[in-house]
Amino acid sequence: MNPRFNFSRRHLLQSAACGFGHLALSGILNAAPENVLAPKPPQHPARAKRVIFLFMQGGPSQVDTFDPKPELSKWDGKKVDFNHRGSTQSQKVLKHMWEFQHHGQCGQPVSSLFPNIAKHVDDICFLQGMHTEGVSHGPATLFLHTGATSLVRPSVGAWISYGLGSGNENVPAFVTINPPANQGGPRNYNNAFLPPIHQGTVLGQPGDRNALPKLANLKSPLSTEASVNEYNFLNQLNRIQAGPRPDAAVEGTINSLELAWRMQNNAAELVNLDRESQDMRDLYGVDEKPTNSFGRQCLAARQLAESGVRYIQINHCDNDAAPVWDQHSNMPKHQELALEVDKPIAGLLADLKQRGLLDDTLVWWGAEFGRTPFSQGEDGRDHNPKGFTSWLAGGGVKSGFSYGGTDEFGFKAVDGQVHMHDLHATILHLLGMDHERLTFRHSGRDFRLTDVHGRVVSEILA
Amino acid sequence: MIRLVLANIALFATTTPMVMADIDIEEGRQFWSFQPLAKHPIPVVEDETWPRSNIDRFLLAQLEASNLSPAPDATRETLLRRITFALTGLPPTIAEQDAFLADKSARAIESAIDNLLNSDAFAERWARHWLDIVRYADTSGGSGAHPMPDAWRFRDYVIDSFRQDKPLNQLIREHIAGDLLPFSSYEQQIAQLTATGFLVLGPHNYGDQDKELLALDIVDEQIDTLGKAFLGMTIGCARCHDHEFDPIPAEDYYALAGIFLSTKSVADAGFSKWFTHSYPLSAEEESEQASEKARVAALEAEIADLKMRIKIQSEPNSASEAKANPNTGNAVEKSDPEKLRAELKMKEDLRKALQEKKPPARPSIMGAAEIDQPKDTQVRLRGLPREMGKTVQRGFLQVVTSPGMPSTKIDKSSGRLELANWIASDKNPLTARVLANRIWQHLFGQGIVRSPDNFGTTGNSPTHPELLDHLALLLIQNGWSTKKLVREIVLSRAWQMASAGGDPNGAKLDPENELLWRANKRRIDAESLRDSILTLSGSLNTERGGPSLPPDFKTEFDFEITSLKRSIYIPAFRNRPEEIFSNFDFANPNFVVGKRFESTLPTQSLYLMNSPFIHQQSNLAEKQLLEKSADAKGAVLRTYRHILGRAPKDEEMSLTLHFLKSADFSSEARAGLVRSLFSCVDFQYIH
Repeated sequence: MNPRFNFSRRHLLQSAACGFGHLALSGILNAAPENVLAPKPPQHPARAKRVIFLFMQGGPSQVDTFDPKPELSKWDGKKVDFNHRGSTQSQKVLKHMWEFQHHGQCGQPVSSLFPNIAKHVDDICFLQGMHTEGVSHGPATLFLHTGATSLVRPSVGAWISYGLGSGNENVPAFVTINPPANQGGPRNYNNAFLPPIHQGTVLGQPGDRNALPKLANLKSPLSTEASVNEYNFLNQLNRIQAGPRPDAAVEGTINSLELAWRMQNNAAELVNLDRESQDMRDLYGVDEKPTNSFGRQCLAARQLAESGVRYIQINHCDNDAAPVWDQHSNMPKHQELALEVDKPIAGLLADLKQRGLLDDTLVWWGAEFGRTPFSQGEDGRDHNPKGFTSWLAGGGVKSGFSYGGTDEFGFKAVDGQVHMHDLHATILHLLGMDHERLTFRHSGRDFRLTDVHGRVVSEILA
Repeated sequence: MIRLVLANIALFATTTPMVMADIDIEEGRQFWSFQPLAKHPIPVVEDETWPRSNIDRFLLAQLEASNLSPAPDATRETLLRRITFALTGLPPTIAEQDAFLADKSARAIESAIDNLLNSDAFAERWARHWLDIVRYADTSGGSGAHPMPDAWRFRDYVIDSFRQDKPLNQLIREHIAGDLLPFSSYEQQIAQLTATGFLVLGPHNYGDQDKELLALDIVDEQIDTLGKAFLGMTIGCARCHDHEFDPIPAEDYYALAGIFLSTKSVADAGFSKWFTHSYPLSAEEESEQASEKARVAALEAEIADLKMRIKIQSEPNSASEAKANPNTGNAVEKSDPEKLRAELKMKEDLRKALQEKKPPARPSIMGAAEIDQPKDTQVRLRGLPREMGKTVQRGFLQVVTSPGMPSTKIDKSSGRLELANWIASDKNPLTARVLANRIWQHLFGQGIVRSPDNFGTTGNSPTHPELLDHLALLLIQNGWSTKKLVREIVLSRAWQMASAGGDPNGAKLDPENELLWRANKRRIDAESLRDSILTLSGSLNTERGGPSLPPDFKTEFDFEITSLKRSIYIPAFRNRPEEIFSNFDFANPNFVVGKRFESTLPTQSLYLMNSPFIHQQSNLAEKQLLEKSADAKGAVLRTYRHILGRAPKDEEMSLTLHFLKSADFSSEARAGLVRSLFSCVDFQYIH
């Protein structure tokens, strides 16, 4: 980092103040709070410093990926009454479409959809008894991200930003790359009532999983001196206009300008895939089809992790009414999608491990829900929030471990159930925060990510 | 536990109605939004000196009941900027500021408002609000990006409608069934056909090879959109099963689906497309075509005559005996046969030329039409296209159907016209409430119902239910006029309160400002931001209307937008919004967006500090405002008034002069001043 560019607001105001003593700058200085993204100590010793969340929008099928069920082959094509969505009708069972094999020392079954991830099962903790709220994408996607299906609540990343600040004052604490533009869109990375600076910063383009993971307009076309003077002027102008007690929205605008300025001067290299070696690019499948787009996202995630971002979400999503992994018909499309993400995710796990970053980085793979073990149409599967698989790796969770499970058809979580609230509570715990004590007072009451629910799943802690 | 049943039970599955739990429609009607509109007494307030209108009385009564008092009036400078942005999406000019501040009469505000209401900019601003809820775009979306080169006609039709202050229920009627409505002029005929573009503008996967599924998906999108946009109902939820939260059984969904399956929306092909009407002929075009037809007919007669004469002349004796022409009865004159043949050839050539002359290519209008044999459809079990349940009669939502509403009987037609009239009815409890709430929300920043597209049980309840009914009735009484309701609201004292200060208990008792104890500070939206900057730099292209896409348009992905017209005329892409739009929360055109998200992100600040657009525009503005000025103070004053709609405070003036002076008044610094004013809090917020 070039120290010449390391301006804090206080610095700038002080240096600028030399020029015109008649301005009551001391008042402005007193009104200016310290950097709201400055790192804060955790509430208890943390096992992870950051999270990388790999969001598979639409809901991959658990029974075709990590949760094989022999019963499905036995009952294939036959009708079984699942009481799905309260329906009294029976449903036609649909067998796995891909072969499973046991992998690693732990023997975790993984289907042929994920041959590369399968090589890392000994680093992964599988949560096979996941369940959640919301039967359609909108509510379930919001629940995954905010712990609420319809009310506007802060995103997980915003809570983490609020709780821990950024690992580096020059970068945002919460970054999301090519986030979903639908199913709640920006609400999935919003700050709700938390100060606006905790909102997720978007790299790339919402709704376009092929967009380059970069930040636009990071370079000033002006000379350094001119841009410093101009920033300085604007910031003081804002302080005058905001007055001594700015409201949250105005304060948020000012904070976000300050962060933008620090990013401009210090984070020009926040994401720069060009500086990676060809070997490294190859590891993530960058420059080759069909892994190029998601490979770039994974590689960018590792760079962001190194730079101090606390919560990095990368998204395998698009802008359709039917999201990417939403195969109500044509389950074979899972193959095409898995090809896009399998190698990049395996590359990310390998890279984090070799750099020693996996020890304090929690990787989370998952979706808003899973899919039904029975068919929809000829070869599709419906949404299933009652039982599905997510997995975690690194950052203080057991490795080569599988927790919980679904019934004999892979439909409902029946043991080791982990509700989405529980997963949220556990993630906060690993980051050194108590989900019951990470609160924000709003509208006269204390709000939490987990509302009045959530249990830290101590069974999976390493 | 899972119960296993034998496979042959499946035989009965298709005949079993798909019912989860019986929905009690009668009980459902008790929910507030399904109740008929009621005329509530105007509340009595303690402080009679404050209210200016009944709107104020409804608000004040609730404030007083909560021990809160309304904020003081906004300053006149603040008010003019607020009014101008709310009504036109543009800042007030210095001339408008001067006129308004000079006019001390009580009517000053009213006349400023009336001028704005009658401006083209009003129509553009409020048409844009409407386009948000009808998910307008210029490309198809739905996992594709096919250009829709005629979509702009719909956009211009919406702008024209707001310019004319067309009754909002008529606008809806035209959207759903414009092709079936009577018309008294050519222009009206075109407008009404164009209106049905609403039905086919949605994001659809036209490449889907399962045409049955495509048809059902399109119908689903149509129902979902009109449900949310006009009724505040998430009807789409009932496609696969009875609505889980609202009293909408799957039968109601398929009653509506029958209507839209009886409507032509798609032109099927290997790769299907939206349906289009061919552009109707104008009266002149029609008479021109008729006269050409008459010319061909006349030529035919002449040709027949010539042929007969040639025939007679070529017969033996013809030269000596005059014979009567059987066609005309006249005696055939003797002529030179060569001359006759030459004349025949000339006339035949002329006829051929006329017949082969192609009429100029007619533009097409995106829209919908009736199919030949409209019919009811069956419930699709679990939403599966080929799993048929029972047949349901075409019809509407039972829970909203009550005595006094237009007939629900649909006979030989698709039922679109009947549906349109049912939604547009004064008696429909949802439509007027939903629309009045939308207008209120655009003006106050928050709706009385804060979930403007969801008036169902999972939406928010109204903060002021009686006021909402009052506004809905006002809308109806005023002939569903947007302008009259807007005028009524902005003239209220409540709308003219200050956004800062106010009751010291307000922040504690009502932090969300649900009771409106002060005005809401509003973030400038994407279009207002771009349009203002272009206006202030003097580079706005003020042409109105016309095609969004150039004739050689290929794809949205590498398309560079160079147009300097107002943002409503910039192509709205389904997959790749323009940078300034996506940075500043433009409505996602794939969905009904009654309320935009307001984000605050460092990426926005980076855009304002460094983007080529902002630098270009601030350089242009600087040349206009500051370049040739010898009087630095005067130039700064003018620049602040021009951009922020107010004079600088003393602190701002000295800070600004210092900033310019320390850079020797360089053009870079002058442009920097403009840029900073574009980025500063008082520009980014409408106070």
